[in-house]
Amino acid sequence: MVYRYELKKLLLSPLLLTLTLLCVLANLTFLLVEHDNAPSPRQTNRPEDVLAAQDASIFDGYSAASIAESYIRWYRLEGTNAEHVRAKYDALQPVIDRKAAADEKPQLHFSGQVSDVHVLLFGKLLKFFSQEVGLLALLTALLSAVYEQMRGTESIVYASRVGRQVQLTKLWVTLSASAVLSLMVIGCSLLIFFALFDFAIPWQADVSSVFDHALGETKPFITWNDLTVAEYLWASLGISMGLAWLCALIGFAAGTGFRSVYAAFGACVLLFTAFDLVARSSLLPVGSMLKSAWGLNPMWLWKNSGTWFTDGRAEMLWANFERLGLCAYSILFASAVWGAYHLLRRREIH
Amino acid sequence: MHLLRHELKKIWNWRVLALLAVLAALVWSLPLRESAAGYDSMRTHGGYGSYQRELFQRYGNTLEPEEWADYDVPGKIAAVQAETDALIAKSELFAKQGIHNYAQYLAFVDRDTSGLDDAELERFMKITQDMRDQLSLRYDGQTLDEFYASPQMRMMALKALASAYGNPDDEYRLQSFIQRDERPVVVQAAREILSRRNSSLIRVDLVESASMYAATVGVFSLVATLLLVTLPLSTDRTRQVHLMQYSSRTGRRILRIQGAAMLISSLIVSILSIALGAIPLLAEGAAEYRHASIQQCFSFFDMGLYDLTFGQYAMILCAMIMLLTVGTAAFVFILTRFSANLMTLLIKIVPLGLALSGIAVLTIYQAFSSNNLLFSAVLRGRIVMPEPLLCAIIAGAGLLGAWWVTCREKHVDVG
Repeated sequence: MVYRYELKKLLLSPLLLTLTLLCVLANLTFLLVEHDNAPSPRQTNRPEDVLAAQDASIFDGYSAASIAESYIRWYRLEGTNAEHVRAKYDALQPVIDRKAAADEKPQLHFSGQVSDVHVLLFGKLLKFFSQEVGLLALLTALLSAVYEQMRGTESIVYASRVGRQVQLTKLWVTLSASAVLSLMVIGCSLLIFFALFDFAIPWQADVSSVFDHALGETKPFITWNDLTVAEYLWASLGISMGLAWLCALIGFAAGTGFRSVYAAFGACVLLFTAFDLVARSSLLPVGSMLKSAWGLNPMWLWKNSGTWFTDGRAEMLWANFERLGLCAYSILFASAVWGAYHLLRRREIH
Repeated sequence: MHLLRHELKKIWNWRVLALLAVLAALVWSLPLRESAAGYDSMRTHGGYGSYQRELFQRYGNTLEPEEWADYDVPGKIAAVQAETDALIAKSELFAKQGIHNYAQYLAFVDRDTSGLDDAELERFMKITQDMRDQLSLRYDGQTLDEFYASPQMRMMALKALASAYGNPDDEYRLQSFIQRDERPVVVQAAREILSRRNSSLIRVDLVESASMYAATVGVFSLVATLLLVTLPLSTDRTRQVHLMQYSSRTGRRILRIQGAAMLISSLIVSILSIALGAIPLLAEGAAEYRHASIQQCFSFFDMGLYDLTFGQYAMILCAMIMLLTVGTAAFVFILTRFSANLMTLLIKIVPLGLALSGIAVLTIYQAFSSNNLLFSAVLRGRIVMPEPLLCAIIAGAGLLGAWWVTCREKHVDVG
């Protein structure tokens, strides 16, 4: 019963609904601008843009070590850091060999316009809506966690032992509401994308070979696991949703742990700023364990959404870093929520 | 005045100031410090080594074709090459690879490595690295001055300089803008540069790096204003203090005073952000460009559009930051008036902050360059100086809205 009422409060909040609508409108504007700037089909009738796929065994004889060496040269890595990068790409070599040998999925090679649409979907749109749903989830969680304090009903609700447990119900409600709002944003954005752009790609083809290069780079698009295009899209949406829940946990931990709404908000701003700025700076050298561990944070994961399920460039030393980061930070902030909840149960409310 | 002082005191809360200090430390120690360090190219280190400073001292802010010829960069390159040849001739490492001069060394490092296997590639990389170390006279404990004085670094600096200013009388790039570019303002700028017949002696990436730095300071100033001015008025309204204040005639003026306090605070925040941001830039020598014109054709893709000195350009960037910051405070004031509590206000100001930060980057980054997104992608190069214009419109709209809110408040039913 409490769950239903709390969920209704959040999902029917005019502010959250307006924010959801704003996110969809922002994506619509972005996609319309991209559509406007895209070359017309007549202009793309060059041989390299023809959609007909060619069989291309791009992984036959491909050496992961060459990727490692190009990063080592680019970042001027030396010593242990260079060895870390080499070790990661050594681990990627069997994956490449397996992809070269596998024949159950068609290895097709596209380039030109198809590749551009791939960059638009997985490199830009995915980044935008995963950040938007993360922000929505964070604000939903803050609103839910401080709702009683905001309305001045805290002293009534928390007067009893059962009342203090409402906060736990609010957590489940926050996660549910975040999921519903995220689905609205992601669903509408994808609908607009598929209505505007012709994503004429065989969904069952291997995503590693469908596109000729990783986003913004010259190396192939290599995923650690064998994923079809459809599986890759679903998996990326799963990570976006996971990041939204992670943000909900961060917001809920801050909202429950801090007595002041403003302190909770300030702590979130500080945390995300630190995540972003430290990851961008040269404070932590590329190839170091510290840089890689820091890069597991949600800000870096959003920034590099186009590399999910792939090698993750030289900054990332571990396979499947997006799931690793999601799990590690989810455990960390779930523990923070748990700690904040137990503090609340014992807290003196004035 | 008494009320204004107390409102200002409420805004400048030490807890929020502590939060801002941590944010400022993060912003300074990470993106800004690296960006500011780039300005030392006017001195000894950086892309052009000490050569550009020498050019400045000898020829002033602009470089005429005859001055460039007088500086004789090809002669200087030949001298450094002779020095490098002598170094290579004495080295066993180079001799083992059959390299006896600089030209052979260049051919060796630029060879096609695609046919090499992993072990061969690794060996090749190690040899070229050792060669580079020898040419830069590298040893443990080498100072940065010694490194930049080495033949390898002097050669790189001279080549970078030649590529930037090598053909001051080369009209080809400008003619290509005049004939092919569809943006009227860009074509006009190309004509002006062509008619002047000289190159502004400024660093190629000066506008880009200075505007990036200013955009970072601008976004920080906006965020700091949002964090600082949001709390007091919102707290008053959450606690419904305004009902008590509104019971008197003088109390009805409180919103206007609170608004003024927010605007004054935002102005102070922007001035402080600009002043603190400017100190490291000035210390790194950015002021030495102050009389140099930013109107310059940097490449086939980038052009400084207006005949402004770098000093004037920096002042306009500062004014844009101040306008956006004041506009931010005015919008926060309006949203606060229509928010029942702090949480609902926060949900409103987060998208506002993101939108205004986006506008700050859009307008300040590469302002007055042909590559500015607002100028080029949105307005297609049709409007002169749209960047400060947009900042002024935002500030004007915010101030107008705030004024309307305070006028409306006199007669509104607060029950």
